[in-house]
Amino acid sequence: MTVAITGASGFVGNRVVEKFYLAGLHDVVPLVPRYSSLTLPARFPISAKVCDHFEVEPLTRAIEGCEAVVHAAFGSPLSKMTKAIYRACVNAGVKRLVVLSSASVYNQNPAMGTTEESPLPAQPATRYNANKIASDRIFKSLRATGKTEIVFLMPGIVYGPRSQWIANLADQILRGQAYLIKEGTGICNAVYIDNLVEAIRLALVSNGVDGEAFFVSDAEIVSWHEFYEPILAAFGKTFAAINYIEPRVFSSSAMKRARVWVLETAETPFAQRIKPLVPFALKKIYKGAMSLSANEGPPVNSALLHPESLQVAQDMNLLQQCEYKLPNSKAEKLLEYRPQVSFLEGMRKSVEWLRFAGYPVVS
Amino acid sequence: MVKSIENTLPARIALVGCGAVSETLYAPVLQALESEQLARVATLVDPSKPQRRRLEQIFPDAHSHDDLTHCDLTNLDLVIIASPPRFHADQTIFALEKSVPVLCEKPMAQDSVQAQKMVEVSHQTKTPLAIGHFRRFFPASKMLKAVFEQKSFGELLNFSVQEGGKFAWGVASAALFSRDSTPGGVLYDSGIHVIDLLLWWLGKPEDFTYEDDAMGGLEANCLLEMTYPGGVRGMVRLSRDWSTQNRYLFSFERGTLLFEVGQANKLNLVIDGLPYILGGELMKSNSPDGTIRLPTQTTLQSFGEQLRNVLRSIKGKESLMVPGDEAIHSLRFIEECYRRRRLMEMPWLTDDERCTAQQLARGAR
Repeated sequence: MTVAITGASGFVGNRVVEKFYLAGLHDVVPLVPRYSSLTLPARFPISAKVCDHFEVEPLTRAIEGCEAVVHAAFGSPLSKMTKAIYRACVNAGVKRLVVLSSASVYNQNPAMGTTEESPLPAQPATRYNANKIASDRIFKSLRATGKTEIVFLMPGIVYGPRSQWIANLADQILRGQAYLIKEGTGICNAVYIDNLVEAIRLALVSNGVDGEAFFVSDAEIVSWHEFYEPILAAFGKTFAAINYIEPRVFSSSAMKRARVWVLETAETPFAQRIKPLVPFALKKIYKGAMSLSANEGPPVNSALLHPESLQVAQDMNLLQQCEYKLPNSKAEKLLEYRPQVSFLEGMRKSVEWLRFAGYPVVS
Repeated sequence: MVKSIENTLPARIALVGCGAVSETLYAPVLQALESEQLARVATLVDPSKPQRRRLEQIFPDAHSHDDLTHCDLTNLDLVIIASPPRFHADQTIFALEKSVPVLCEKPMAQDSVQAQKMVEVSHQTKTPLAIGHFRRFFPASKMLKAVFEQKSFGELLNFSVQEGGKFAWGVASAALFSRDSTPGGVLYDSGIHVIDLLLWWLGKPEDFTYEDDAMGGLEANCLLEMTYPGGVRGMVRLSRDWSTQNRYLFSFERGTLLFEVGQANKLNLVIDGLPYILGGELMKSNSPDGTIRLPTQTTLQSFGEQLRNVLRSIKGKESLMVPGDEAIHSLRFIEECYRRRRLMEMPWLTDDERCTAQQLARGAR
């Protein structure tokens, strides 16, 4: 089968290309949004295509001749990309589209008992979640009239070589900035990248799964404490290097709410239509204001006491409070998904990648 | 014989190639030189009209052409070649044969055969050929050169270089990523800067091994391990895939010097046993006790210094810092690396994948 992969230079997209091509699973057509993103696909003697992921025509041309598409790209405005991808698939006669959605559509701290059939939370906890929910809804509504089948995969914490979860944690540990909430007892819905790629492979070929969504994770139940342990050990450190903190409350200031409103308005179809008409100077002012309002500095007293204050990310604050392992049962039943790589093996490979990437790994 | 330039007149310059390097580095420096009446951009050359148009807006008085061979070089004092490397040799030789001095961007050519030809034409026509290894103009590079020569911290024991990050240049074509248009990946493209500096500072290693992750295509990562006389070992890790530590670390008998990429005029000194690292800006002393200090060049100012060196050289006021016959050594070294290439260990690949990767790396598939 010939499979096009959007976002082929990203963490997931790249590994799909790498595995499908090297293991001879499928012919691949890597798609990247700009020339500078050709770095990783260019390692192989395959012809990657550069095309705007937000425009139907170039996407259609790029995926012509492909029987399936794996959509691993993420960008803003996501709704525009979503529509362009699906319409291009229909135009090019693509039989199946596998969409990399996210477990975050059920928020980073999903309720106990959540399944793929549970209603989505009324209030998305982050903007990312809201975008992913909106994108999935658009895909579903387009599928109602389009011929291309869609399968949604909803992984949680995808880790492995080139994963930001691994690299950011490594950077935080090395800078003394790593932290655990609730002593790391929260559940990390981790999935090693190759297990996700296996789920993608199955989603491309399984029968009777059109329109279905699947959680995908490793077989083991893993705490955040267990997730941190191999990375700490890689640098010869112990949990003494970790800052143990209480859950934070992220208040929504007036400026933050205004910022979200402006960003959401900017993504509406009307705003997108008039965007080319907005003078360059005005766009510059807009970008500057957005950039300024994005940075809420640490409290003054904390900054006074420490040269570098602890930065707690909102999504991590929620993720580490998670008490529920999202089930693989639906993927096991309908896709016959079985995680191929254990958590320990996945972490070992992640640490070996850190060494490959030049991190000061000592063990 | 090279044409002589009136010392007082601005040098008339042709800028060949209006891509990312020209837009981000040459344009601001040439604008500054124009404001000082030292240079005037007379000609812009690029086959792409949209690319050319951006620089035409900056240099509205310049003549615009899509091909260097369509230009009249009679009144030019310098041709800057900033086109993709596959055009460097032909364009450089064209200008040199018209006795116009050339500053050619790195890598100077696609291979050392082309580079040798460029050098020969430069000698035959007695026309200067400079190569754009502008990092030699960094105050930190000059400082390190002096430290190595004077053994200021004792003998060098070992060194480690990590450079690179996710490739983010706003390139306008796929030329850098296709084996049809370029002979190498990260080593050939950005690694040539590192190799040039190491050869300049330390000379040629006694022996070395080289690995990269090209699997039938172009490498995004590479690892070079070198040994020098006296048992000095050096490691160079380059990437255009992932952010490295971007630093050069030299361990001497009496301390360690740390040069961070992009910090043209800064060095950090690590002295064993002391609680802190001494990180500081390199300054010129303007008084015997060093209490009056002058700032040194930043990255962009170093780029400008390179152009000033070329212009002063053309006027016979100083010699070229990086002439073609010196720059050719880094290209030859890189060719030797590719001849010795082995596949990098990528521990996340499965056995089947690794087997295919080995076959692709050997050109067996």
